[in-house]
Amino acid sequence: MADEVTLGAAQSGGPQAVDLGALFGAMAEEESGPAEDLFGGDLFGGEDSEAQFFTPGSFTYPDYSKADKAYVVRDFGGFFTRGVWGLFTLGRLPIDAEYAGARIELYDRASPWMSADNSVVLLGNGLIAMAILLVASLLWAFGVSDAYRTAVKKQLTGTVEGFKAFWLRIWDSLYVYITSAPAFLLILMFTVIPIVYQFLLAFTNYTYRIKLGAKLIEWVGLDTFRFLALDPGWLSIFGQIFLWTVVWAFMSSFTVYALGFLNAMVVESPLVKGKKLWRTIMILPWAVPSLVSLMVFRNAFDKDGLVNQFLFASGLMEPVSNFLHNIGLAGQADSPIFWFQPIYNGKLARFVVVLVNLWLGAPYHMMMIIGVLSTLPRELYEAAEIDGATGFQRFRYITLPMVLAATVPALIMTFSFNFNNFGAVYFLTGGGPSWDPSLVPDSMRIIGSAMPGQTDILISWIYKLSFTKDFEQYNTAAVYSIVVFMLIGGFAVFSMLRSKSFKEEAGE
Amino acid sequence: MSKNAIGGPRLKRTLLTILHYGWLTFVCAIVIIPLAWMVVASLTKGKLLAGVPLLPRFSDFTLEHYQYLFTYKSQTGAVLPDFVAAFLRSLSVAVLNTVVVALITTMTGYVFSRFRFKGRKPILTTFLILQVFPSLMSMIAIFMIFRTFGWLNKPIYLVFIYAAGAIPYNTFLIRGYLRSIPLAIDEAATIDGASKSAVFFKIILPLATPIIGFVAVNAFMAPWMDYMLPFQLLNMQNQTVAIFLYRLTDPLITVYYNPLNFMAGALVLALPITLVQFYMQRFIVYGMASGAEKG
Repeated sequence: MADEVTLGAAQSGGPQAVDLGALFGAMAEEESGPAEDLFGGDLFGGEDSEAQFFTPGSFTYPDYSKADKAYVVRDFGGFFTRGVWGLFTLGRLPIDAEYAGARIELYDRASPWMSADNSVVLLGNGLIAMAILLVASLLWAFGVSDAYRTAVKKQLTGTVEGFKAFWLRIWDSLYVYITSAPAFLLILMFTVIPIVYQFLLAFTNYTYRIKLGAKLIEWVGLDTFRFLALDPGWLSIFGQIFLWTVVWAFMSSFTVYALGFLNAMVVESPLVKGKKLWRTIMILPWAVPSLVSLMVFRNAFDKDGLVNQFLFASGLMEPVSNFLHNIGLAGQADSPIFWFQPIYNGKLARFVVVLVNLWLGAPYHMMMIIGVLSTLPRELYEAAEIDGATGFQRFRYITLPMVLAATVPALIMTFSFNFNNFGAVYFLTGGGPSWDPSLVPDSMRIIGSAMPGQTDILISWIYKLSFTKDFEQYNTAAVYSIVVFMLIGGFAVFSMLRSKSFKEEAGE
Repeated sequence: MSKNAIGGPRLKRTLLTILHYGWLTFVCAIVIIPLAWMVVASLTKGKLLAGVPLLPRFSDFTLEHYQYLFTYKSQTGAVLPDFVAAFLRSLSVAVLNTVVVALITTMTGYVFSRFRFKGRKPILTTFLILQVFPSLMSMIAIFMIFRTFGWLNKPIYLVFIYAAGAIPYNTFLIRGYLRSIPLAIDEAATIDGASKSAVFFKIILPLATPIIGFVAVNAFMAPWMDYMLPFQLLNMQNQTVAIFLYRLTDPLITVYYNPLNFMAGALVLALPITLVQFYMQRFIVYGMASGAEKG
């Protein structure tokens, strides 16, 4: 890296320090770009800043011979050194701090070292730098060991393998790693780094209060965890959201599976003719993109939507409204019915979300079960028929257990999918309706509109905590992400360990 | 099944048949009504849901919403109407995603099904755990990465995230499928002098077409309907079609709010996707069956 050169230049006070602006220097500068970038426009929006190269001129450099030398890396470090420095310190100089005889500004285009540190960017770049260093050091270690082996071979035999032979050998011995390298790199960059980043945020004090370099993020250890675990207000709301998430995941998975099963049985019954036509119509909801269906349903359950119009036109509005009120789903017998926006009463909205999810999800399960049904051995049914089993008995003792056994893995996947089924909640209800304000614990009032609604599941609440403008609670959101990750990751591993294919493999 | 197999009298059988057809009719009605309503709404004048008739009259229909989609330009001097541009952006992302995902996951699936190597099991377990973490939750970090590399407002780079997210599950799927192809085939080819790549391209690839087709269809579908990533990473000039549509239904954006325009747009978008889904159904049923078995 060019850093050593840089340090020398910087210490002699020369302006050549800018030379490292070549590749990574440009990135490092960019990171202190206009901070409005970060949260301007639509949440993040805004233009990305152009890489800037500044020309040497008559700038006042910090006097490193006297001042704290710890800042050399901060001021002139390249992408990597500065990245690692940023990861550990999360920045040192916010706006208005005194440095090199002047005040730090939000962004100083002429002398970038006078720009305020932006902890979020430092953390991100630090992780990216670490990841690149990790990959590079793996390659380096391989290179060193290979050079060693070649040297030994040369001493023993006196010959060195040619260029082509070398690459052939590498290709042959590392075939597996080379072909899967693109996958590993993509996953490292766009899955692992973001997850680690999100997890690290849980150990910081990053909330809406820290913005735009005016204040720096700090590592606070387990403070956020402790607060969330001990505060009764947060704990009770989290408990309620968690409970609803589990109920939702269970209900939505069970209903789609059951209806899919029923539809599969009916359409595949020998009594039904024109199977292909029925099937084609019934799988329509699966073929329509789900975002479109969800938004259509949001409109259909609108105050003026299809459902209310139909109820009015058929004269059923009053009985249905009264019925919903009587069974306790609706708080009052409204007319028209507010499906998603009843005040402070989430029961009806929750019910409708499950219902809409049923429309969306059942066809997939129907197709899957039809597929399984076609693989069931006919002889079993014939034998049962000879033994005089009734239709119901055949279903109960042959079809049901066999289909269940074949689809358990799919059912588990449906459950974990629905546990994180952000779209079904966000696009239908947006999480609403809200809770009765008198029931909101005092300790939660600070989060304002990031407060979850009654249909919010964990993941949509995490989203709200991260992205509700002016109420962002990044660290809290990160803590809950860890919780979700542990739960659902543990669930996935547990079910894999029990699965057939994994056991087979272990026995190989 | 033979006549009167159920053992009951004819009447019972007739009743059952009626019940079956009744249920099918009911289900199909529930399926079709919202979709039909969508079509009618897209042909209704104005911008109010309340104006959508339950019993449409053909003479009242208008194409103004479709006209809006194919003519409206938010910026003067734009080459393409907003909707068309957004559609093309989504299309390019979807196509590239299909290629990248199909290519990469086929390779990794092949490697994990055919070779024994150091770190195989831990990597598979890591894949499994990673796939349960939705990229939505780590949006802040993804934003940072895009910012660092200067990819903000450039839709095509979304492919990286979609592909990275799709690799683990699809690797499992392809690996599970390839394991059912007997190793003896590869061995015979190797003895005949075929290289590893030749085995892959000449033998594995043709045999794995159904499952690769399934993976490719899924990879093609995913980007169309993703809302959150484009919403955070792209500005309005570079929006994808999902963002464009969502904006039409958001009452808070009064300039664009028009649920009837949305219905027209959703229909125009959903039609090709639905057709592709149907066309590729063969692969999908196949992939689902193997997914169900292999978990």
